[in-house]
Amino acid sequence: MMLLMLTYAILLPVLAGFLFVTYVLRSNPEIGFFERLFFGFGLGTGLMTFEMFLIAWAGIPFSTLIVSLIQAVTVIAFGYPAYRSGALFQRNSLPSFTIQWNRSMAGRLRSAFLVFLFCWIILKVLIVSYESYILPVNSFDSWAHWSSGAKFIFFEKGLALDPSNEHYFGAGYLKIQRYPLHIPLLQVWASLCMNEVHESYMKVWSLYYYISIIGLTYFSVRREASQLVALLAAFFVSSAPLLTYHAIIAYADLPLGYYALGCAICFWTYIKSTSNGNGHGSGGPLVLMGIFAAFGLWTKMEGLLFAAAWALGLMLLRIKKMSWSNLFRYLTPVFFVAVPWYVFLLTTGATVSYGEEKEVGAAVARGLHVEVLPVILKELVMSANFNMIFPFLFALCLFGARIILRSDLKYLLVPLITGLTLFLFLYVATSSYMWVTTLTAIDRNILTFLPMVYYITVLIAIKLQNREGL
Amino acid sequence: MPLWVRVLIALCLPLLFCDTGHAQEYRWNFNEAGSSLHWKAIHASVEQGSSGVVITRGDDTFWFVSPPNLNIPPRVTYVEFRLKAPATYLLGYLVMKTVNNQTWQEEFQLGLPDRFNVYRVNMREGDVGNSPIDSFAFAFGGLGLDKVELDYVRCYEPSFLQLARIRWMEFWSAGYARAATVNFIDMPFVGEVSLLALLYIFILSSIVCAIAALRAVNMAALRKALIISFVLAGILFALRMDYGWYWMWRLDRSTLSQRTYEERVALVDATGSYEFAGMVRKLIPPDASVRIECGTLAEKIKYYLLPLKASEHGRYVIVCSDSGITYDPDEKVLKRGEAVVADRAFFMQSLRKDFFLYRLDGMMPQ
Repeated sequence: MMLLMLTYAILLPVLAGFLFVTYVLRSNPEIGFFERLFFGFGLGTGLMTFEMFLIAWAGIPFSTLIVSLIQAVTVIAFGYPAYRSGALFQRNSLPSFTIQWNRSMAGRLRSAFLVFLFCWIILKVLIVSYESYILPVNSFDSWAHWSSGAKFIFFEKGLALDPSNEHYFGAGYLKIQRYPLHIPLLQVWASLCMNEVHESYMKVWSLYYYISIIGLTYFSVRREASQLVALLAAFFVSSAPLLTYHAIIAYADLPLGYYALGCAICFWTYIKSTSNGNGHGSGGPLVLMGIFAAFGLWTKMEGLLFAAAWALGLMLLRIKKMSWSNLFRYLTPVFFVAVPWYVFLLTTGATVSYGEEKEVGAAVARGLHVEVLPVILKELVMSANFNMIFPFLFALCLFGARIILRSDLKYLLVPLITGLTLFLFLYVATSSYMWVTTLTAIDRNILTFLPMVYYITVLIAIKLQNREGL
Repeated sequence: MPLWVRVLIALCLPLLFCDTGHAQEYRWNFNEAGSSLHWKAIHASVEQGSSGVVITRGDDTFWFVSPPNLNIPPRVTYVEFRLKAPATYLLGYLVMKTVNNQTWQEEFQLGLPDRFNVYRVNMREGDVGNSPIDSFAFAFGGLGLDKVELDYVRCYEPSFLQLARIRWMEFWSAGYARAATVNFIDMPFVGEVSLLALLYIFILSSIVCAIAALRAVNMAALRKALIISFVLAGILFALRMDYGWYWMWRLDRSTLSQRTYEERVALVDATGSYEFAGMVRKLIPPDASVRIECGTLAEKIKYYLLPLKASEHGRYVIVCSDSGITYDPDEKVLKRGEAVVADRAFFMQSLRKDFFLYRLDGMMPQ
């Protein structure tokens, strides 16, 4: 029964998200059912937790019924236009997953390799699923913040916004109150549906973010290249060691990585549609990109840096080939999420800044923490966390610089470089440098870029490969 | 004779000159009666089992100490033993003592539970003095590890081939599967060289080979070779790292799948916090609040106690993982040194020697 209710908790927001994505991307038939489903997961969950936050702020106590009703309204609100527009029954143009055993030895080897990769990915997902469903919460930040906050909110049936409450707005349980509430509220929703706090089941969301990352990588790359390349990309993402670990636990880094990947895919879909002269209706991916950026900052504070980085990428694109209205399609959802959240933080008196802005000035005057640079480089190149994707990306950029700069891929690299630079600036100029030197956060921060880096690297490799005729 | 056969023979020739590694060996077979006669158990009892000697925990960390005056020379570097333990996720320790009374310890991670696993530990890794080993001991502790069964122990000097085999097995060691944290995943090593370093060498050499095979040195060939070699190296890396996850799954399946939900949480918690919080929730009213004096375990206890809430003004005090706090049962006072942490504190409940619950008023709980 508990697993049934958990399935309900997962499927309800996915349905709402799927319907919304289907409607928004009605002019993009190349984006098929499964890709919309994987997009829909992140969108639906983000939307649901944001709605939960708003009803808690309004003082309405949480219950399965209330949240379900709001979700039902959301499903109808998105489902009706999706149905009316015909998008719901639209056939997509993406070729289906097929393995053909042709007669040549090379063809058979290729097919066997495809089967091998496919089986490996499935096996890996099964192992991670088992671990995710059986292992209870067992990491420090979960006990201190993510799951602790969720458990507190679940028992309070709200955010405890009565100022006389000793644990006002989760004080003592939401250890850092300025952290967004997406991850705790996801766990609250699962617990509401199960009617108890289950130490393993309430945190299975990370698993579905992990599966969605693999699925999105496969289907988005499949739109650009062969089945083999798409499977290889999905395989490499699925086997990134730190990403795998985070699929089992309940931290916010992997979900933020998912949202950043969503932004990257939508951005590239938009760029491709403008390049193909398919300008009309191409605003859909931008709306989706804005929503993903918004839910990124609703997942983790660092999401703000991503939102800024994507905005810069779009600004550069605007100079060449984008209208202001399309830029606003991105910015609107970001503001719709960021403004209420930060207004809420200000009204609760939660500390929005720990004085990093003063640290920047002080650090510039006293000298920057350049000692973090070799540590970061070592983690990117010589750690076991990310496979060899960063050296591969560096090598491709080095040997394919001219081709990249002549293509639209440069626009995709802008947000990536901007995001990395903003993080680097934080490390070099504020006391955050200690999270690098003690290796306590640097790899997790890199993890937030990882799915996006895999995607961009594969796109670059495809570009070079097509050029060279590999 | 084909060229490849000649090359293979030439490569194998040096192996003829490798030493066998059996020059000096110290061995104890515990499946023979009386074999553990000169070994000593501390905080444990020993009895002869069907496949070895069974060491049952008595109290705290328990030890199984080898006979003294072994005088194991420095060239004997490895100790190999076959051990069965009912728990995993835990570390065992091998503590060495030299003839000069120097001591150090090496750790090993317990393998699959309730079956014999063979472990090999480099007993010289922490040695600085290079002096002979007088004796060594196994030390075990942790939740759920109440007994171990030891089949045999041998200390030996590995030959070249044996060492290669050890390195190979260390590379695939399941221990790495648990060397994963939220912040980083440990790198597998082949001897002293990291897997990634080897793969970079592989990438460089395959780029060179690919260019040689293509008979062209230009940017196009370089890019082509680069992509292919990174993909191949990436697959090799994934193979090793995913093998670690496979092992983690096997460990978890054999350890957790047969247990109840409560047992699973308690086992993974591994500190007793979950168990104790459950006891406390049954003992005190649901609207009460608790003061927590638990050092590094504070966050965990606070988490597991919910819906009971933590408060500085709580009428109950939990003390754990803080050896600085003492309880005076006559004065009914909790103290840290001379400073009073809480007075009129009545002892209510404890779990092992680690967790204590007190009530802060003059009334004894009913």
